[in-house]
Amino acid sequence: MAEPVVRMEKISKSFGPVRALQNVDLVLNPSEVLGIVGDNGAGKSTLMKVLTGVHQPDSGQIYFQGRQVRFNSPHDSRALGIEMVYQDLALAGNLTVAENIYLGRELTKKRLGGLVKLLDHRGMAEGATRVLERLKIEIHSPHFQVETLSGGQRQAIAVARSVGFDAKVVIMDEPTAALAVKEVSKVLDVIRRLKEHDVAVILISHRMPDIFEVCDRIVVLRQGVKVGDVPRSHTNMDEIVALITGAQKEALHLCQEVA
Amino acid sequence: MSKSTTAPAYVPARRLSISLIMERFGVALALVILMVVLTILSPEYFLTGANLSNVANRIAFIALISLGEFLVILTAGIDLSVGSIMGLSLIMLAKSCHLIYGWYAGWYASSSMAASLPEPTSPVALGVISMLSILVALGTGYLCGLINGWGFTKLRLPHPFIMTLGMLNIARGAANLISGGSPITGLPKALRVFGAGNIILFRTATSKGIRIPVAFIVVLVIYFVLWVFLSHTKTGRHIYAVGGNPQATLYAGVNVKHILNLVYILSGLLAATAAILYAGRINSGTPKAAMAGYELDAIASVIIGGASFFGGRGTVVGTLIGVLIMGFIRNGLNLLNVSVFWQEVAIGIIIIAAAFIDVLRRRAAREA
Repeated sequence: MAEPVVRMEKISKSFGPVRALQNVDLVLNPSEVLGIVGDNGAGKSTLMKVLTGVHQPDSGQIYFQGRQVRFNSPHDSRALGIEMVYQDLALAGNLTVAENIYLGRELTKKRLGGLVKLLDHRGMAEGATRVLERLKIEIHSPHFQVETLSGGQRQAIAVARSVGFDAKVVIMDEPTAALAVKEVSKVLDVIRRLKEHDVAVILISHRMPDIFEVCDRIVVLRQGVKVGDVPRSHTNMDEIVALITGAQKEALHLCQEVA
Repeated sequence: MSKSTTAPAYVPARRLSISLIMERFGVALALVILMVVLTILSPEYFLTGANLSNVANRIAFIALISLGEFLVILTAGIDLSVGSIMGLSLIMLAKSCHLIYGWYAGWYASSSMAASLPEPTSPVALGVISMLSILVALGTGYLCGLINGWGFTKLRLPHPFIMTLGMLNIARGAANLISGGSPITGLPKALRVFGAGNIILFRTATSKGIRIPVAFIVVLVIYFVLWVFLSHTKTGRHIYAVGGNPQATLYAGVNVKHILNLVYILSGLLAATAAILYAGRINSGTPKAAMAGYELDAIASVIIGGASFFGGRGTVVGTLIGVLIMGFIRNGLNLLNVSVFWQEVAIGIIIIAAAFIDVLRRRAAREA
């Protein structure tokens, strides 16, 4: 088995007296969809913020493709290909699909003999179309304004935005929370497509059916401690819910192929 | 094309609809209708070259402060100080012009090197003096804009309304303090050419030709440059992005504070440029310009031009059309001998109507 994309070891983080994370280990394998579940305040978001460099851990190490790394800001993690897809915050509705996908990393061309650098609108439209096709996201034109699209399409574009640029890890925080039922499947399709393209995905969700539909492995956090780490095939929703609520103490399968 | 079977579900109903066409061309259509109506109501005056170039001259400075206001409104902000920054820059322009001329004339009179230098009243000396005072005016606009931006991004005042309201009062006060409350009259020709010059085309023995005000050409050039900037550069698109979703723009790695500072600086610079046109037109610097409430005309033009107060929506061309609509309404009602007071009422109604159209548009977009 290939070495994990991400390995977090004994991560602890406190905010004043609140111990948000206590010695949490996390492994993410290549092309794996990992679900992270837990009640509100269990530490899911904090753990992801540590992974993306928003927060720095009080103790513990992070390894990316085997090398120890230290993220001081989201810039650092993004440079290595760790992308976070935010719930509702990811897109500017007044811009087109292509402009959103390229927001912050626009393509430019020199014009007037190198005097000015103007946007390469055509190049961005073509690039956006390629990304969308790769993920089989059906948008008729990259020139559509994002606000004219449905919630599912928008979420799909937010993902396309993050993976369009060789992301190796995509973290999705509640990507389906605000979506209509028929839209949810589109987002789950995109997650499966990411897996096909060798992108590892971390999915944070409260929706158990989503987790069980796409995840290969499920990690459960409770009050800042990892209490569950089980392959989907070895568990069921009842057990996961019991772990979340504390009705069941622990389920840590040591079946991960980690050195 | 196996895709085409599922495709229709993904086509938003709004594309190619009447509402979209109205969104794109509605303002232009309103302008055309307005011009047709005024042509019919005032057949002998309205469409004459003299009247049109008069209007072009009158709206030139408003067009520039409106453009700055537009940039700020694009980011969902507001700049209440554009009129008074223009007024302060105007005073700084006239004052510095007089001061520099005075220094140079005094030095010239007492200097032994004088013979090898141009006389104070020579075109070369006046040209250089004009250039220097233009730099002073632009510097004033830049500084005011910079401070406006800092108020929002550094002092973190809750809304740009407050900072720019403060700046409005500061600039008004400063304009009066520096000028002593009375106009500074008499400016060199080199300085007046931008606001008062005309380019005459097609002059023949029999016809006087077409007079095109230099001010109007300045406005068109600046509008063109800003259009290229907003639609074809990274920073331009980031301004739209900040207006659409500042949080998303931040996450995309764009320095949002830098963008916000930039729009207030550009607004200040455009107000200073407007001051140069204004100075040429009236051949003086008057503190009254800072007090005239031109910022409200600028805001009105931008809103009539189709920009949204919520940010992220509107175009440079729309803003120019908004300015033209305001200008033609004032001009038309003048030609028709309608009282100035009724003009204000008419413009008020049009502002409300334009904002209401924006509300309808957003509602339609949500329901689509």
